[in-house]
Amino acid sequence: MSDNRKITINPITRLEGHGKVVIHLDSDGNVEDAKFHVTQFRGFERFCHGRPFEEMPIITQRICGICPVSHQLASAKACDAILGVKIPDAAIALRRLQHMGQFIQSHALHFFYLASPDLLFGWDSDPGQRNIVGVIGAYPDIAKKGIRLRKFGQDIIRSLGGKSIHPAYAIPGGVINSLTEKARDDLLTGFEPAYDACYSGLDFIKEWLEKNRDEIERFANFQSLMTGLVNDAGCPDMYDGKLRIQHSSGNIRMEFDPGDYLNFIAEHVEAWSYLKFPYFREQGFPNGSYRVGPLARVNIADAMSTSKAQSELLTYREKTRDGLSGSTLLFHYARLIELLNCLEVAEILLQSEVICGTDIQNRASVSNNEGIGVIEAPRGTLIHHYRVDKYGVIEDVNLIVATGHNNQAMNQSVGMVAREYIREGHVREGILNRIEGAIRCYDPCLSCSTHALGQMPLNVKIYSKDLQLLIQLQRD
Amino acid sequence: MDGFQNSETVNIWIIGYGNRNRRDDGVGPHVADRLKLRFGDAGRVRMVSVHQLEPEIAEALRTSSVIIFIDSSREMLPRGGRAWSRIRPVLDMHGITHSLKAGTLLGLILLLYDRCPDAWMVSVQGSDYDFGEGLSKSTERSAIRVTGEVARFIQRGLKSNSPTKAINDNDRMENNNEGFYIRSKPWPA
Repeated sequence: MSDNRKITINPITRLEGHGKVVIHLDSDGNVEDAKFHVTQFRGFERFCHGRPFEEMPIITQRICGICPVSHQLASAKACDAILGVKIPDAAIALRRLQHMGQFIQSHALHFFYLASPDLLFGWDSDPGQRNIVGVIGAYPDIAKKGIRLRKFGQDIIRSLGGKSIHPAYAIPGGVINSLTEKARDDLLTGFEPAYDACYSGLDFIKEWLEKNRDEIERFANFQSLMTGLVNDAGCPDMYDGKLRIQHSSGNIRMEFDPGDYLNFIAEHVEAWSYLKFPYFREQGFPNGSYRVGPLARVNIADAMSTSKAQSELLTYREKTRDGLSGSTLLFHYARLIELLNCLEVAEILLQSEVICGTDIQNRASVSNNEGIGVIEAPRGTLIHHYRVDKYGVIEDVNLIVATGHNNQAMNQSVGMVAREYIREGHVREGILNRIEGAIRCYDPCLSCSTHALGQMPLNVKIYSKDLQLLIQLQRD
Repeated sequence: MDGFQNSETVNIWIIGYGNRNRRDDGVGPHVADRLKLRFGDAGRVRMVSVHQLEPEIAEALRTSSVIIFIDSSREMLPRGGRAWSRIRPVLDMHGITHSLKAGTLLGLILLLYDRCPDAWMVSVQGSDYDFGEGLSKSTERSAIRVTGEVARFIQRGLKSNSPTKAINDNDRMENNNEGFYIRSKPWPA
């Protein structure tokens, strides 16, 4: 019998939601196994049964307080499909604009608040400084730019939906408000400082890449399938398009209509996590596991849809061409290229003639008993799939969120980092932060991911007031 | 941020925050809304109702002299279920992206802009935090009193060249039996 040791990091810091990592060592002190456990469940897929489908954009955006707009938009698209309507051009433009605001605030939040302490101070720095307070103290200019950039994204969301958290905006058939010319003009004044903040981040990350190339090559660097929405020109499109699957080596490429996702994607369940493991059916599990989000979107892109971001993509590919395309740390670089793209797209939308249009909703009654809405959320591909009865009452819900798509990849990244940096039982604080950092690269939103009640292996213990175990329920 | 734009001339902020969909948790926005109806938004005083405090507010508040936060409290409060407390800046930024506390927001302002406004927390005792809109009867009564107290403070602040002096006058009002209850200890971080 081996004499094993177990190292637990709980909770992981600077993530949204709750998770833990458990690492098992063998008798020699080397890593035998490492797993990323998601310890919370939410139940949205179940408790939405019986609700009118029109409520879903309002209900599902409350899955998360960081990315409510993403859920609202995916849900609205699913509802559009149930109605069988094509929404007006002004409504599409306004939804896209709100979506860009979401990307801007979310990516700014992740890079400047969550990731920057690791990148600025290094993995082995004092934990007391390696946080947002440390960033504010040592790099106040960067901190202020990050705060202002996130604020700009929230200003866009708020100009449309009235508030930045859980805005009521996209509805089945369109949106509820048009954008006034004054609000549009106010927003247009905010782009110059926003671009400045984004380029500050890009300048930093390029310099950081050159100084840390060796670590980037070793740190959870693996080839994998990658997925995201692309438009007809092969550019990442955060709101609509075909789903493209491509191997990071470039060997496999295919595209399909997102409405056919069930023919291509299945979900695997493990007993030790509440988070499912999506994979491509053709390759099976785990070979068919794939990554989504900024690294995937940048890798599968033929080009970026805007000029500044396209220029940065070319620089990115030049700098990462020697075997770095699968390196997990490059999520941070890819995220900033996307941030730039989203700023440009938002500016183009605000300068368009249609953005202040007043034809913003098409009404209809239930035409189909099934609706699928797929968008790219900041963290990756988001799928909302509803089935309704003839009255539009929800009978079934399936949600596959970005962090779920990345589940297997996060586990693989954790295992690789653990094996690289824990040898013969020797463990350092900076090493444990590298393991957390591997997960943090994916910007996982664990609040979103764990939404299914009733399908997961559950262990439920019921204690009396004086902590006596009364009932234990277990479903395998 | 809704209500936080064009804030350069504002030096007195009244920020009511809480979840309107959790009954008495919405008392902060409720009071701020009523003050806004009474005073409007022009001039040196601004009333804002928000769901929660966020780091991005720090930029708008950086030139303020006084901030009054209004929030519900599960704690039992004497004197008609409300209390005023001074708030000090707190430098622990844990959970900054999720649930920012008033003291942490002050700490962020201090770290970023090297200054910190005077700040008070006006707590209104809540009894019902269930899902739903509207205040319980007891909290609604307390909210009416708090609205009057903050309104009197605003009027004093508008007349005075020093909003901080207007705050300090509240201390003397305690002694004059005008019904304010002021906690002797600073609000916990």
